Amino acid sequence: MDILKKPSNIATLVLISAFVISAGIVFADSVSTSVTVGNATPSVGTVTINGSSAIVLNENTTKTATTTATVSDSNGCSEISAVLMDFYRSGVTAGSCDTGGEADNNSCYPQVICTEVASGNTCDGGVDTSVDYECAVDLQYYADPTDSGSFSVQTWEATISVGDGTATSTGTDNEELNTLQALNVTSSIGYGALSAGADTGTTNSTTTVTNTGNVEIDPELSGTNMASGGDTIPVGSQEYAAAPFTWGAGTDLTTSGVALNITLPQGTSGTVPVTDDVSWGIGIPGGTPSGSYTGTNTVTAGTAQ
Amino acid sequence: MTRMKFLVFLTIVLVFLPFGVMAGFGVSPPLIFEDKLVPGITIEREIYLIQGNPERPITVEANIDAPRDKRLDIC
Repeated sequence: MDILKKPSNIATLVLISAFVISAGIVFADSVSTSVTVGNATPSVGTVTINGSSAIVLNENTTKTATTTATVSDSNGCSEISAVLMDFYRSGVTAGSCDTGGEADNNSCYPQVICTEVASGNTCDGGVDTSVDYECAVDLQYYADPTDSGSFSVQTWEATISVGDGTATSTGTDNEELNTLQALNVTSSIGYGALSAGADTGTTNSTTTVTNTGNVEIDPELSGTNMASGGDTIPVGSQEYAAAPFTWGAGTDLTTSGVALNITLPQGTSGTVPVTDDVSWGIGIPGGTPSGSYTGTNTVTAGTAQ
Repeated sequence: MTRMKFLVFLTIVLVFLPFGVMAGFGVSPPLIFEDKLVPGITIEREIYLIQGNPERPITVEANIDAPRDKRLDIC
């Protein structure tokens, strides 16, 4: 124990002891952390109208055109609260087709509600940030064509708006809408009973022609001989006109199509259905054997003169 | 009486039955314009024949109204 008699050794020992004691004590405490995650603005990725194909309308009814859009939200796709589409002819512009009051069946279909796809890129919640939406719009058969005609330098555009309740953003795509030349006619023409050598005089049968497409048309008329067994009445015995007429004053029907200038314009919400009548008459040539004669008249939609 | 029967017969047999006319029908697009053709090029375009309310099958006769040019084949 002589070592303790030396003061310097005692001091050294005290220092070592203090170090050893302090090394065995851990000072524990908690540190709070915090961060504020801000709201990220959702975004619109790829927008595709009608599978990137030109839209072909249905005659005399609506055609559902579907636009798909991939939308994302960095806070999670579950935060996406609304996806809407404005669908319009480009000349109308997005700013003039974004409220219900601006709707126009020819050129503007605003505020179409989009729905999440049933399969594929659905929103799985959690850290999933991306989801696909579908926006289906029922286009009228008289919607403006953009592949030719007055609006041939335009297209139809879809502006997709995505919101999360706080912020919104948009994305667009465009596509052509094809011209549809179409018509509908009443289904039969009956001349009634006539004797050989007689004609219908001032009595006309009528067919009603309806423009069921999206461009103005003139009907083109043609026909066949009417037949009863081996007997015939020449096609030229039938006459037609754009207004009631006395047989003899009409235009003779022919086997090749001839346009009747009664231009049926493209429809609008206020004018559909766009219709006009064609008057028909017939003169039975003398010597025509008795019988029930039938034939076929054809009415096709032609380009307006 | 025999004369009366004959007149009635004439009236009946000269009834011209209504003849059929096809109902709604359309073509889209009705015209195809290609003004940028170069030698050897092949192009395909789809033309849709449309019945909005197809109640029965219809017969379609398609005629191509295109310029007749020996440098151009239309199939």
